[in-house]
Amino acid sequence: MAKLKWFATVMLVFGLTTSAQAQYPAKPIEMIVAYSAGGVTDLTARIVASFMEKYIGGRTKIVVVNRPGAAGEIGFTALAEAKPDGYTIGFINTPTILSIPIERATKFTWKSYDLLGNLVDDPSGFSVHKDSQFRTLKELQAYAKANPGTVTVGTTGVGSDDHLAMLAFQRAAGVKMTHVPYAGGSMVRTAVLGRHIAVASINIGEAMQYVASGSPFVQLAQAGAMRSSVAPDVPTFKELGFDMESNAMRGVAAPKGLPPEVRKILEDAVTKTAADPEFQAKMAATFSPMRYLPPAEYAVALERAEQLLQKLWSEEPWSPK
Amino acid sequence: MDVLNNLVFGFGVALSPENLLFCFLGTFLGTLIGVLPGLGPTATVAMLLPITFYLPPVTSLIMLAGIFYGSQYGGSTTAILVKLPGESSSVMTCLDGYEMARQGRAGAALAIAALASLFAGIVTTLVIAVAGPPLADIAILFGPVDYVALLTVGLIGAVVLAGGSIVKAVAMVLLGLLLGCIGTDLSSGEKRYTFDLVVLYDGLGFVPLAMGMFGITEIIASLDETGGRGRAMASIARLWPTKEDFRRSWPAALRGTLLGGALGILPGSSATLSSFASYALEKRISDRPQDFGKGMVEGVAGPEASNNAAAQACFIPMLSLGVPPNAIMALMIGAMMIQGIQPGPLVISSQPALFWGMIASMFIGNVLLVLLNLPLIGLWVRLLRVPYTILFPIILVFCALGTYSLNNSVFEVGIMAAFGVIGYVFRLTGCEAAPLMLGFVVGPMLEENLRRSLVISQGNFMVFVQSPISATLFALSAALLLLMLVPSLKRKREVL
Amino acid sequence: MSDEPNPVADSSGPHVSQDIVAGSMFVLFGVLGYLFSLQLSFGTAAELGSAFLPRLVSVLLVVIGVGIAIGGVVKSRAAIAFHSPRPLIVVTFCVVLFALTLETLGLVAAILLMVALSGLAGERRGVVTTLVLGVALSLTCVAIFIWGAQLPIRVWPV
Repeated sequence: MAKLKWFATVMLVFGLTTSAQAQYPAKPIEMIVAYSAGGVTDLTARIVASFMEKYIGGRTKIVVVNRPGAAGEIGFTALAEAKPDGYTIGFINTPTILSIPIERATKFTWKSYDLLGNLVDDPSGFSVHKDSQFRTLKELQAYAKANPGTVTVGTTGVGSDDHLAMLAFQRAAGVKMTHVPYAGGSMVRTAVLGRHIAVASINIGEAMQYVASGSPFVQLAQAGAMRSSVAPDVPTFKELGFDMESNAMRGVAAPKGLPPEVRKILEDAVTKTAADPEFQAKMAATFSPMRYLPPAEYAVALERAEQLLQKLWSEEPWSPK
Repeated sequence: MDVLNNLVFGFGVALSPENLLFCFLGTFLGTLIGVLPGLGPTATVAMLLPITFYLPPVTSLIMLAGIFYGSQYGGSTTAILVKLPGESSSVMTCLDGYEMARQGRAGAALAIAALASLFAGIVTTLVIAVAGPPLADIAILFGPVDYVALLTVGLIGAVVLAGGSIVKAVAMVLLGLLLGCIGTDLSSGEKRYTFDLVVLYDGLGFVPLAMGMFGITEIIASLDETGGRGRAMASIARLWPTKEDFRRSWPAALRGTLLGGALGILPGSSATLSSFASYALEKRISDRPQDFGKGMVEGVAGPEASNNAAAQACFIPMLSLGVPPNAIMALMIGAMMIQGIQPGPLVISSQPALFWGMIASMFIGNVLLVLLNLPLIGLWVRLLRVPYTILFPIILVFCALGTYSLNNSVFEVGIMAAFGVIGYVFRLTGCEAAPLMLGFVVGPMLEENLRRSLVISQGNFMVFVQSPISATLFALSAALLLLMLVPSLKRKREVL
Repeated sequence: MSDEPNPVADSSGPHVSQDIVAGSMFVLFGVLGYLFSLQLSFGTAAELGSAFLPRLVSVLLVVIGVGIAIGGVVKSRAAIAFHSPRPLIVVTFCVVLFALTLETLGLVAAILLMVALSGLAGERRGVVTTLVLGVALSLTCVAIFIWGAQLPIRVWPV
């Protein structure tokens, strides 16, 4: 009898968690991350989730779900195809959210989502070993010009923002370098540390964390429009006379067609999260350069980045068509 | 005696009641998820990350580390009991561990696995304490060229894994290499064998493949060979290992520890690879290689020591260089960063309590794990008395759900089913799964590094002999090959 | 290594040589591997293409596969010991059905279906045993994966 009672209680708990849609959120919210656990987006997402829980209020629970694969395509597709009921939200990342639909037919574009706000803007950048022969970007350019194809540049893969940054630099500087793709940013760093490659094309956040930890790493330049908050002393490519920009933006989105009241709740939660000093401290500690953009401005930024990528694709495709 | 002082200091940190508690919690949780196939330490650590926001940095790292190496202990349990690798690094334990269980020696296998892991854990932690940072500096000298050489040795050694026909083993390694090609090619971005299926863009997963070819295949074979009753396990005469078991195990555990430790500090290597290597080594140097796969205790002790040593050793690059060799170390770096700590060359001097406290906790954690695991053996062994008709649906459900939980992908469950069938057909035809799994693990790494070497050297093949590390390793693989081609003097290998 | 099938031919099945089947399978995989690598680029020494390794491996597979098969024809020793297709079909079907039902019918239904169907693979279980096993297993899985690990898996049908 006691067992039966227990069983009934269990059933009741199940019933409660699945029915009752009256007040949002009535059940846990899934936050899809299109990359594996342990990556930068995953780390940001887990921090963001804990703050959004607080600001949505009540007993809200946000569960981070990793749907890695195909450079983000699997997760982005899952997010775009989820029911727009506010119980599935997720992170979208540039440039992949823009570049994958340019490369091939996909079930999503950035317009498949209700944007909730951008949080991170991590510029690409070039780093070298402390004992490298290149002390400045100009030296790198001069050497690469004199010795085409000999400067090795490590990136996180074909079509990544690091790769796009390398392509952009080649065009802006009029040089030809050798692309050496790796499966992850940490492998690129290791390769520079062991002097197996000359230049690491990695995001400035990751690079600065590495510098801060005491590794023999030097930043040559960063590829944002302006200097990033995490690296105020590193010049931008533009300042140095190379007309190029490349960055990785990470923001929160939901499948298109959220009910207006749910959308409002989620947008507010993102806004408040971004403004929370404790959150900002955590982002600074993890070297994630913040750049909060409300949905409308986020859309403008994505639109602009998409046009730039389309132009690049038509002139110099970054991956086999 | 700097190290000694530091260790005493570290134990002072690790033995505080709070840290001790979280060390226990971490290792306990690690054992639990290690036993469960699929659900791995990475997912668990990721899930617990937000909790660490509210814990002191040392405490949270002690707990997260415990989860990781604890899972290496737990992973062997299902491998031995039901031939289901709980973690990818326990695939090799399936071979002889499960055979031992069938002979009624499950208890001995489990105990040896736990003790070998303890031994490896303690030794490797000591090495980290004494020489961690200098070792890390050596490890990064390992370039793409050297990886090519190292992996070539591994592939040639893979053939040793074969119990029966060498020719079939070579073919299985090749098939593993071919399966490893599936997915987006890292170097060019081209899609290989993906048939426009997005789910294949990242290739096949190791876990669905291993669970299919070991777990599912075993169920089908067991049911078919017994007309549906399922294979009976020999009754258990003795729960604990014999003196003879210990005598044969400890040298194997020692070799496994050295191998696992060495491979573990190389960023880009893995616990899985080191367990393969250890098994091959044990078989190669044994005076009765023909008995491997039939319940040789060395085949459990070596790989189990090796995977635990590798698991502990990968803390070296993480702590002293800030370079995460795998996803779980990346998560630990994340956990540190959130607390404002930058793992890297400065971490030992700037955060001595963290560094030494964590190392001391690994000693404590390893002992806790054995204290936790040994009493459980009696319980696990009793599980084998469950009739097979009841047991196999349970295994099936855990296989399927475990695989699903990895990436929330039903497609991977389908892949597992497919490889259950393929594995079964191969088994019927006398072809073994282990060489295929090794080819599958090594192939992508080998290809990646080969192409990277040639890109960097602009097509100059001489680089492979110019690096001293690589030249030595290639000489070694040539010797290995020669040894294999010339029939061994000591024994005659039957070629089917 | 373990579990080599009994080399003695089983009386209940026809005598099929292990080596001929194994060799043919390797040839099949090799041929498929080669054919589907044709649209990929082979590359140069400085920049090996994505087709280099697959084609090399495929060709080797075909060669070795043919070798194994010929060996099987010439001196076929071991025969395949295969009794009944039932376990193979039922077990595979169980897993596939689980995959198909998990995201639609939910975890509990998927487990119950799997447990019920798996009974067809081997010796029969009683209805009561099956029911108890199914319910107990569902509860355990829900406890571990939903309550414990908090995985976002659907528990009940929509």
